[in-house]
Amino acid sequence: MAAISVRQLCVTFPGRWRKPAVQALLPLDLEVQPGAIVGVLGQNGSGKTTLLRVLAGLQDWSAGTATVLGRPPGDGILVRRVAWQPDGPPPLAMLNGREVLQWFGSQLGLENDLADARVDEWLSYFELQHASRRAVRTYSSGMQRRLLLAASLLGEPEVMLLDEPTSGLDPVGSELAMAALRQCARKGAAIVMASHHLLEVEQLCSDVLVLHEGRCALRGTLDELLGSGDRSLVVRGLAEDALPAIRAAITAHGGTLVRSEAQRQHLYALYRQLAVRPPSGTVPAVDHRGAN
Amino acid sequence: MRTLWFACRQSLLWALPATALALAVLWIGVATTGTGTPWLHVAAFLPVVASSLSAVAFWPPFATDARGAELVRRTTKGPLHGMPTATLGALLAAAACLLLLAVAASPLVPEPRAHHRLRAHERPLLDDGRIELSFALPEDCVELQLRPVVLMPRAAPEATSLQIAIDGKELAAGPVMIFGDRQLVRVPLERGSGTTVALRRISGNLPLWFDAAAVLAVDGSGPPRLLGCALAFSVWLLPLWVTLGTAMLLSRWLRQPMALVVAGVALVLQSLGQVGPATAAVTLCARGHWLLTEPIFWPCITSLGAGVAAMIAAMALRAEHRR
Repeated sequence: MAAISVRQLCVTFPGRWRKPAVQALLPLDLEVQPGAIVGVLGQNGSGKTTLLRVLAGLQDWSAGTATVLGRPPGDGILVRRVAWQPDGPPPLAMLNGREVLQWFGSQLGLENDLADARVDEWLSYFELQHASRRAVRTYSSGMQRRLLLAASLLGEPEVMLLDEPTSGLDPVGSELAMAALRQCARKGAAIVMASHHLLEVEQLCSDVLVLHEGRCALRGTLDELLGSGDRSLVVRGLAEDALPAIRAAITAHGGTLVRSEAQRQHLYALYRQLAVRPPSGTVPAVDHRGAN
Repeated sequence: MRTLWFACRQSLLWALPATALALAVLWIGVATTGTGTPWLHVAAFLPVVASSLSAVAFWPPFATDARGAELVRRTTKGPLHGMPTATLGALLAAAACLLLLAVAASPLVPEPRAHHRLRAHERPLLDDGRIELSFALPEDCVELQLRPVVLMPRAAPEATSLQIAIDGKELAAGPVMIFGDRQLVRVPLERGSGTTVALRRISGNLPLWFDAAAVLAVDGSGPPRLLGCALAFSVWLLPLWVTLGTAMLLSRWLRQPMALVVAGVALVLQSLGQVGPATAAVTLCARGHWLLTEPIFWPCITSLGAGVAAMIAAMALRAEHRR
């Protein structure tokens, strides 16, 4: 069974006074299987956030059907099984980071001990331990985004609806977020994420949905959309005099050497070397014991 | 429980400095003016307003545009999205601060005593047609307080002189003079001196109307001051309750700055505007009344009901909105 199923979904924001009604989503079909990561792309105002809000049960729709885990999106039971991360600051910003996560844990029905253990793990994973006793309102936007991601992951959800999950994150944070989402997907979570970071979507997502003015402009797997029949080869560390022989070998196998360039370090690698705390790369492996 | 704890702690963070300020105001006010009643009102108002505003500022569902309001609304159970729990947290914090204030203010107020309202056996008017009124006197009274309404006389006004008699025996202190409307006259009595008190007009022409609160008999002993003070200050939780109930009701439409303004206005109306029982309770406490014997019960119930009604209406509106 698909984790998310949307058929002919339309969302119309009613007009008020002299303002005309706005059609935010025109008939849209979408199916997301468990374990899939769907990237929703599109210009500002194309309907990405509206789609996520519908799936999170926060937005009524005017036509069509939508189900999440076989239930209507507004079903209260889904709150614990479906994580929704809005594109905005975290709530309860007067509390410190640990307390905000503890509060989310309590709302997800986790026992206090288990919630506290998971909070520690995710704070540590997202490198927020040093700031965990500080009020969230003093966090930078990237730290707030990390905290929201941690809150989303706390309950080990079956479906994750993420609005710009890596917006404002530094490269290390972005890498951490992507690793955590990959692991969630491997465990069977269906993930729908709206994003403007094409490179991250390309690295992370299995499927892509491109919206344009509320309509589906493009949909499919990355392999379908970007092609996967041909192989490209990236080789580093070649000696200059080996190039002709390599070129000849590639040509002999029907390929083309597109470009060769002097080797230099990638900016990201340089950043990683300079980073004070390089990411551990170990996504917390929490079990479901104690979760209601 | 975590919501309650966080809300209570956050309210305390705001209310404790306000309580410190209230104590300073009380201390300086009493020292400089020599009177305590207005400063008691100010002192009670400050922690209540701080707790109330902190709850609205802290808990996102109280406003449409608060940080993460939608995330909290989605995450919390119930139609009011944790607002009652946040309100309870604010009430607990305010209660703690008001108790502190009661401890500090109790030396400034008189010992609380039951004030019994005496009803005349006859029509309660002393004029040319009736020169004597009698009342049943409770046991253990040590003071009689007279505060009659003065009516217009037919001739040039002349202060009325009253002779007071207990069980037919005139008081040695002599007659008392009434020359102003609602003028308070205190008459000390010997404990257990009798069962009937009679007021006899012996001179003057001002007709006196003794309505329900015009003749009071004050008990000789009462509960400790701290208890009286704590009870009076605890009535101040009702404005907080009504205010946050109103904030819940309006939370669907108000942005955070406006929600804070509404909360502030609701509290000012209930304090300066004297809507509700809070100011009356502190005034009675400052006058040495024991609140449990005062007719303040119904205003308290009305305030409580107003808060509950606002909360029920808020729930109904939310449920309607969800449908």
